[in-house]
Amino acid sequence: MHFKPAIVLIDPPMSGSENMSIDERLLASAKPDWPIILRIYAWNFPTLSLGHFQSEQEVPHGLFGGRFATVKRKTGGGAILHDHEITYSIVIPADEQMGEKGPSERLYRSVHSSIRDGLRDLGLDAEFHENGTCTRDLSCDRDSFLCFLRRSPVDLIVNQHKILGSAQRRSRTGLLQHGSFLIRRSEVLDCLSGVHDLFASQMQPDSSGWTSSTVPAWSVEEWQAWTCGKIQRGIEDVTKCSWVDSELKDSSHILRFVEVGSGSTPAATDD
Amino acid sequence: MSIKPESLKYLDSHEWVSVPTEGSDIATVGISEFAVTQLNDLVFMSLPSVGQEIRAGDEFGEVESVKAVSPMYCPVSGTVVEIHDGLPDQLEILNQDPYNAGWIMKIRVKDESEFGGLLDWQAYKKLCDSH
Repeated sequence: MHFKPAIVLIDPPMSGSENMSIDERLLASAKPDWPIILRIYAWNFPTLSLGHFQSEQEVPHGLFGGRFATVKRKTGGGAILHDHEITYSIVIPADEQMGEKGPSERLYRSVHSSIRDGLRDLGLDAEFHENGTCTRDLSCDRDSFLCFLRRSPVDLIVNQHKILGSAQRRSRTGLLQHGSFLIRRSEVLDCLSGVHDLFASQMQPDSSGWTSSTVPAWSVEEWQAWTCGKIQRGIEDVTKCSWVDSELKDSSHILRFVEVGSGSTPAATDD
Repeated sequence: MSIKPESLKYLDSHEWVSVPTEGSDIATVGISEFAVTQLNDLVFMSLPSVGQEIRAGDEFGEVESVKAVSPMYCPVSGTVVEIHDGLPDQLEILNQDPYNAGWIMKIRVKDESEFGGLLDWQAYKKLCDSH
């Protein structure tokens, strides 16, 4: 069986425009014989990314006191404040099996399922919105300006709080999926809880006092590595890919490769 | 006059174009019923501008559904002469009638020979059936 090669890129924190430019270039340069790319990244300043059809004029006046940068995404959905969260992008070169219009429901569902199952293994009661009992009291409104106050069927919910959302863009060259996984409550936007806050709220007192046995005391880097592994499993389920230990460790390497214009693939095929 | 999907030409990315009638060089462009089904719950659409020149295969607009943005490609080269500017506010029309009331734009065709490179109904239907 032929497995499509896939590589992971881990990037240091960058500005919003740099991060979005990299994803756009990775999508634009995708070719059928190129590997699938999973990119995990962060932001060097709290940044509000607007969905493709949102405009800066729509940003609610006085939101978060204006203490953030803004950038437009090429993907759809609502605005996301990138602060104490993990952002990922997946670029899958065009493949007729993925369809050419509209969402890849399979990719949304597979990536989110993998993270949901991982959180359950850690003891957190995560579920898809479609299976939950979310009520309106947490502003579950598809027209909300903020992605994390909207709800769509495969959004990942913990105790009525949305903690993972993703969006996509199709092009002639492939499919781009963006996603954001909330780790901790942001000081800039404190109405949204991250997974760490929800673990803490789930702590129960026992005979010796509060127990934190189910709360992973992980650093951001550890959450990043955990999330990366779960997303990899989710991509594997959809694409039948094989992860290649590429020498291209971050996007600067692969973009340099693209700009050099080599005709060969940037990762060896693993048959 | 009602447009029948059997009379149209298609791109494999699911846009349709009507073949101009005798003595006319104006073609209507839209997206197919299959595309509308795939898109599922459309929420936004952007359109080109009247007077815009578009080459065959170029993007002429975008649609968003279920947080996914998808481009729409122009089947033949030409100049946009009319857009369905009420459509983005009534996207449900596409679910009801993608080939007539759900038309997206009309273009003045530059090169009629480009129709020869498009899929006819039978070939397009076969493509959809293979998905």
